[in-house]
Amino acid sequence: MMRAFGFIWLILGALAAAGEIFGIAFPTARWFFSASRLVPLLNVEIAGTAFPWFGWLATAILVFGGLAMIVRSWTGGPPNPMTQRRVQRFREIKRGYYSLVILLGLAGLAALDQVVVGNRALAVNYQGEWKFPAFLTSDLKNQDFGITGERAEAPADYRELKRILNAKDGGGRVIMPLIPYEPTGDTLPPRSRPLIQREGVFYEGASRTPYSGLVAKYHDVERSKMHLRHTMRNGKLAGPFDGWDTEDNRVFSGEIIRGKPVSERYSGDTDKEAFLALPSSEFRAVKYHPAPPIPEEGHWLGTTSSGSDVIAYLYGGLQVNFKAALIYLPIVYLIGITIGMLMGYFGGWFDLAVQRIIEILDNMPFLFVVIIFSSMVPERFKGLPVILTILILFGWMGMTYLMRTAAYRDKERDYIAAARVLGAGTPRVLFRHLLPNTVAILVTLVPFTVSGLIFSLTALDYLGFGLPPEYATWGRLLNDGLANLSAPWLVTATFAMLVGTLVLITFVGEAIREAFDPKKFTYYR
Amino acid sequence: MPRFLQQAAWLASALAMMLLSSCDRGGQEFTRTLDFESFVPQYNRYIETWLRKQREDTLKGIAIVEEALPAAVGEKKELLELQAESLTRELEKWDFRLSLGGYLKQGTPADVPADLVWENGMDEPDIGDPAAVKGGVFRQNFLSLSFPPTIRLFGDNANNSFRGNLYDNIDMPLVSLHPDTMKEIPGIATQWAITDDGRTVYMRIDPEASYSDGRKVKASDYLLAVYLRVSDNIVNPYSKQYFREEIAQIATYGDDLVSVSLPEAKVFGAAIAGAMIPMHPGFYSEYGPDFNERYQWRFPPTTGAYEILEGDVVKGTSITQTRVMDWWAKDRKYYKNRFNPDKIVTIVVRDESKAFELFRAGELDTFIITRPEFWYEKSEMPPVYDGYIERHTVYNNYPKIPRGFYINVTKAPLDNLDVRVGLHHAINWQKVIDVMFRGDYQRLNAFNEGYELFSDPSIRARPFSISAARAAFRKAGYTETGRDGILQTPSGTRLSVSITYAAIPIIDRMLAILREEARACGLDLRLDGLEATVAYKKQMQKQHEMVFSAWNITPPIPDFHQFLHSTNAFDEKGNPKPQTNNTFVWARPDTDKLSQQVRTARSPDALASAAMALQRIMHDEAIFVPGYSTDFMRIGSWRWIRWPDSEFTRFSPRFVYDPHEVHVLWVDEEIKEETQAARRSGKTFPEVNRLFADHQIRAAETEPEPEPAVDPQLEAEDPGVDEDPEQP
Repeated sequence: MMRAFGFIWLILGALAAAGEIFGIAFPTARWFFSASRLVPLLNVEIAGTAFPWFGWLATAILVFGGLAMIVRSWTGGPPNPMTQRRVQRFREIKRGYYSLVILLGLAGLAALDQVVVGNRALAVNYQGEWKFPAFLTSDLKNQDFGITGERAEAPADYRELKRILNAKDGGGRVIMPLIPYEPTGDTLPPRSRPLIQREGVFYEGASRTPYSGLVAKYHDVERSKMHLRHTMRNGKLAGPFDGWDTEDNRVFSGEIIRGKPVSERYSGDTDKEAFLALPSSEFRAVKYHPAPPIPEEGHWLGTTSSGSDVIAYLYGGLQVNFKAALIYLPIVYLIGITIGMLMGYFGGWFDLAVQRIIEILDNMPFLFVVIIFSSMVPERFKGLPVILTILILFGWMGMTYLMRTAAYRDKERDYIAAARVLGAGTPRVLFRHLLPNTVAILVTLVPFTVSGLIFSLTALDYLGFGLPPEYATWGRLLNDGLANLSAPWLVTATFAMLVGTLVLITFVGEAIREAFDPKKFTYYR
Repeated sequence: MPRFLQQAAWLASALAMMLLSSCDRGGQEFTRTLDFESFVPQYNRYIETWLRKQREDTLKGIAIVEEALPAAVGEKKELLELQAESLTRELEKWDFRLSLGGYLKQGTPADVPADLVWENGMDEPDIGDPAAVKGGVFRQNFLSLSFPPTIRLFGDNANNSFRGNLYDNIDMPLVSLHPDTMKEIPGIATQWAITDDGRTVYMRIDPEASYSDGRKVKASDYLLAVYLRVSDNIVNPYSKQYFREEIAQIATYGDDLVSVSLPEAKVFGAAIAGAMIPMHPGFYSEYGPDFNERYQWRFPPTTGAYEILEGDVVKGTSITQTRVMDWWAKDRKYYKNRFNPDKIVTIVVRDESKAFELFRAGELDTFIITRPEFWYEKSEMPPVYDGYIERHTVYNNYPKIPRGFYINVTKAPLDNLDVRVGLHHAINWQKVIDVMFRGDYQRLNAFNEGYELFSDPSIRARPFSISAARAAFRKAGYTETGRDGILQTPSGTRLSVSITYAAIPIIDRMLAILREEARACGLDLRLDGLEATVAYKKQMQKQHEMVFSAWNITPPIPDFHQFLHSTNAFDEKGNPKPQTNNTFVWARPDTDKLSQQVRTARSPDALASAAMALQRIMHDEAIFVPGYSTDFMRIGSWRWIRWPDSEFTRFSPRFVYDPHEVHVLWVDEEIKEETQAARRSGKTFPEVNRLFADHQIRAAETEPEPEPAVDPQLEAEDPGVDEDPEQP
C-alpha cells in the first residue's frame, strides 16, 4: 500500500514539475503552481516576476517523499502483522469497504479536473492542426480559430466554436469535456427548450398537458437574443408580448386577448412587417435561471440561479471539499498530535497551561470570529487558505485530549521506560515509540474529521461567510436552493450529494473503528 | 479566612454601587412642560451668534483667498477665483439672514408687504378617479417584514421605513407638488406668494384646516414644530442642521398667515418652504427630556386623512389606520378622490414568501410583484388564471436611482481617463440584466438620469464591447497579456481594479458575472465584498478604488454639489476628505462652478443647462459606470381593489414611485362579495393583465427613452449605501 502511495506521489510531483517547465496544465498536478501564483503569501517577487516557491516546495516534497516511500517499502522489512490483520478485517466489513472504494472513485474523478468538467476543449482540430486548449496554461483567443469581430480578442469560446465547426462540413472538430461547462465563472445566457405543436396547441417535450408560461422566438437561440417574447396559456398565445430588434432595443409591445392582439405599440426604425419578418427560431419555451433540467442541452440537473450548470457546480464543490480535506487533515493532525502528546508526556505546568489555552479557544464563539476575520482580511487574501486557517485554528483541540490521555497512560509502560534507558531523546520516544502504539485511536477519528470539515465549510458558505464566489461550494448552492424552492432540482441535487458524501465517509469511519477494535468479539453477560 | 474576607469586600462594594446609582437616579428631576416661550428668544440668540460666527469665518476665508490670489497661476488661479466668488455669495447669504431679525418671529398682519402676488395652484388637473367610493378595509403587510420600532414622527428611530405610511404620505404640508405635473398645489395653505428676491414665501392657512381632534390649525403651530425638532430634549442632528442652515426664518402674522424664508432663492421655492407640518400644542404638552420614551407609541392629532385610534397599535402584530370621517380637506380639489378605504390594516409577516402566500390566500389585498421571480413564476398561479387576482404593470417617470460603480479618480490606474473608458466598455451590465433580471430591467445611461426637465436624454451608457475596451486599455499602455490572460504594461503592472460592495448574495452574484466578463476584456476585477457597514465606512474614508452604490434621490431637483464639488473632495492638507458624498474624489473648477449653478439657479432653464453640462462632463470623464434601473412597477391586486382609470389619472400619477403612496385606490365591497362567493362556488373570471404604458410611450417619443423608478426590494437590499435623511 505504501508503495502505491509512493508511486502516486512521485507521479504527481513529476507531472507538476514537467507541467511548470513545459507549460502544460495537467489535471490536479497543475494546482500546486497555480495556487502558488494565486495566493500572495505563497510566492515571492524576484526581479519583477513572481517566483512560486510553494509550487516548487510542494513538488520537491512529493517527488522525494514518494521516492522515500517506495524505497522504504522494499527496505523496511516485512509489514506489521497487526496492521495486516486490521486491513484484513476492514476489507471484511463490506459496507465500509465499498464506501471507501466509492469515495476513492469520487476522488479520482475529482482529480481528473478539466478532463471531465470545463469549458475549454480537450482537443480542437482546426484547419488540419490539432490543439489541446484544456492542457495549456494560457488561454487561446477566438481569433486563433478564425472568429473575428467583437469577441475576437476574448478567450476562445469552444462551445460556440463547436457549433460553428459542426455547422460547416469538414471545418474541423472540437472534443469537449464530458460536462462542457465550468463550475463557476461561466455564466450561461438564459436557456430555452423546443416546443412541439400538435393541432395548433404547443406542448413542452413529452408532456401531455399544454404548455403555460413564457415562449419566445430567438434571433440567436444560444446567446438568448430574443426576437418576440409571448405569454402562453394552455398552449396558446395570450397576454402581454414584447419584441426586440437585432440591436437588443425593445421596440414592440402589446397584449393578446382572446387570440387577438390589442394595444400594439411599435417604435422601431424599420416598418413593422419588416421587423416581424426578421429571421428567427420557432417558438421555444423560455427557461430563465434557475432553469429546470434540460437534457437536450446537456443540463442534466438544470442550472443555478446565477446561471451555472448544476452538475458542473456540484463537481466544483466536490473538488473544493477534497482539496480542503487534503490540506486540513495533515496540518490539524500534526498540531493536535504533537501538542496532545507533549501535554501527556511532560504533564505538570505545560499540561496545565495548554489546557487553559484550549479552554479559552473552545469557548470562543467560532462564528463571530469568522465574521470578524472575514471583514478584516484584505480582499486579495480571501479564499480557501484564510478559511482553512481559521478552521485549523479552532479544529486541532479535539484530538489533543485523546492523545494526552494515551500519552499519560503509555509513558509509564515498560517499553517507554526501556527506550528512555537506551538513551532515546524526547522526539524519538514520542514519534517512534509512543505514536505507533496509540495511532489506533486517531485513525478512527479521521473520517469524522473529514465529514466535520465538509459540514463546517458548507455551513459557513450557507451563512455567507465562507469562500468567495469564484469557488463553487455546496453551501451556497443549498442557500440558492432554499431561496428558490420553486426550483427543487437545486435543493435535491445538493442535499443528495452532501448527505451521500457524509454518509459514505461515516460508513468508512465506522468500519475503521471496528477493524481497529482489539476485541474482535464482545459478549455481554 | 482571607478568601472569605475577599468575598465580603466584593459583596459590599457591589451593594454600595447599586445603592449609589439608584440614589443618583432618584435625585434627578426635570420639568415636563411645553417650555416654548422661553425657547424662542434663546434660539433666536443662538442662531444669531451662529450666523455672526459663520460671517466672520467667511470673511477670514475671503481674506486668505485674496492674499493667495496674486501669486497663483493657471488652474489654481481659476479655482481660487471661483472660491472667492462662492465665498462672496456666502457672505451675501449671511448678511441677508442677519438682516431678517429673529429666526422665529411673531409679527402682526401689518408687517406683510402689500404688493405680494398671490397664487392658489387651482389650475392643475384632479388626482385620482371620481368613481372612487369611500369605505372598506385595505390590508397590507410591513414591507420591512418587521414591526416599526416607534410611531413617533421624530426622535430616535423615527426614520424607519413605515414612517411614510404613517406621516409623509398622509400629512398635509402647506404647499405640495402635483404628482402628475410637478406644479405647486395647495395643501393647508389656500394661497401663497413669493417675494421679489424669491427667498420668502408667505402662505395663508385654510380657515377650515384642523386637526383630527377638531382644533383649528394656527400659524404658531409651525413655530412650535421647529421648537420640538431642534430643542435639546431630543438628539436629532439632521433636523437641527436642516433648520439652522436650510431655513432662514419662520414668521407668523396673526393666526392664519405664516412665512418661511430660504437663505437663497430656489426653483420650487414654495414647495420647499411649504413642506412644513404643523404640530398640535395640546398633544405635546408633556414634551421633555424623556420625549423618546414617553411618546414612543402615541399618535399625534393629524391634519391628514388617517389617524390611529386608541388600541389600534398592537405591538409586534399590527397597526390600524382609520380614516378621519369629517376630514376638513375631503372635498378639496386635489384630495377628494383619494384616501378612500375606511381602515388600513398593516400586519407583521416575518418572511416575504409567507407574505406572498397570505396574498395568494386573499389575506392581503395587494402585493408588489416587480421582481422577475414574482412576475414570471410565483404569480403564475390559479387565482391569477381564474381572474381573482389582477396583475398590473405601471410605467412611471420617477427619476432613476444612480446605481452603479463610483470610481475614485485619485487611485491608480483609475486616474487615467483611457483606463476609465476601457473599464466602462468592460463592464457587462446587460448580461447581468439578461441573466438575473430576465431582460426586464434597463441599463441606466447616466448619473441623475430621468429628471423630466433636468436630464440630458442624449447621453447613452457605453456598451459592453471587448474590442473597444481592449483598444482603450492599449491606449493607456496595457499592451501585453500576462500568463492568466490579464493585460499588463511592458513594465509588468497588471490591469487590476478592485470593486468594494456590500456582500449580500444578490450583489455577489451580479459582480461574479461582471468579473467574468471583464476578464474577457483583459481586466482583472477584484471583488471586495464587505459587510455592509464596513463597505460604507471604506467608501466614506475614500479608501475604495471603485464602489458599487446607489444614492437615494429626491425629485424634483437633482443635486451635484455633494457628489462633485471640490470642497467635498479634499481637505486642507490635500488628502481625500472623509465623510462626504464625493466618492469620486473629483475636483475641477468648471464642475465646481456648474454644481454651484445647479444649487442656486432660480429658473428651470438655468438649472437644466448646468445639470446637463455636468452630466455630459461625468459621461466624458467616465467617472460613473451606470448600472441598471427599472421604469415600471408591477402590482398584483385582488379584484375588489380598484385603481383609478379616469381622465385625470390612469392607475397612478406620473411621478409616483409606488402607486400605494398617493392613496388613489379604493375597495369595492360589492365586487368583494361577488368574488368571495365565486371563490366558494368555483366560478371564474377572465384573467386580467393590465399594462399602463402611457408614461413609457410619452418618454419613447422624445427619442431615447428616459425612464425612471426602482424596485423597492432591491433597494432595501442595499443597506448602508443609501442616504435617506429624515425629511423635516
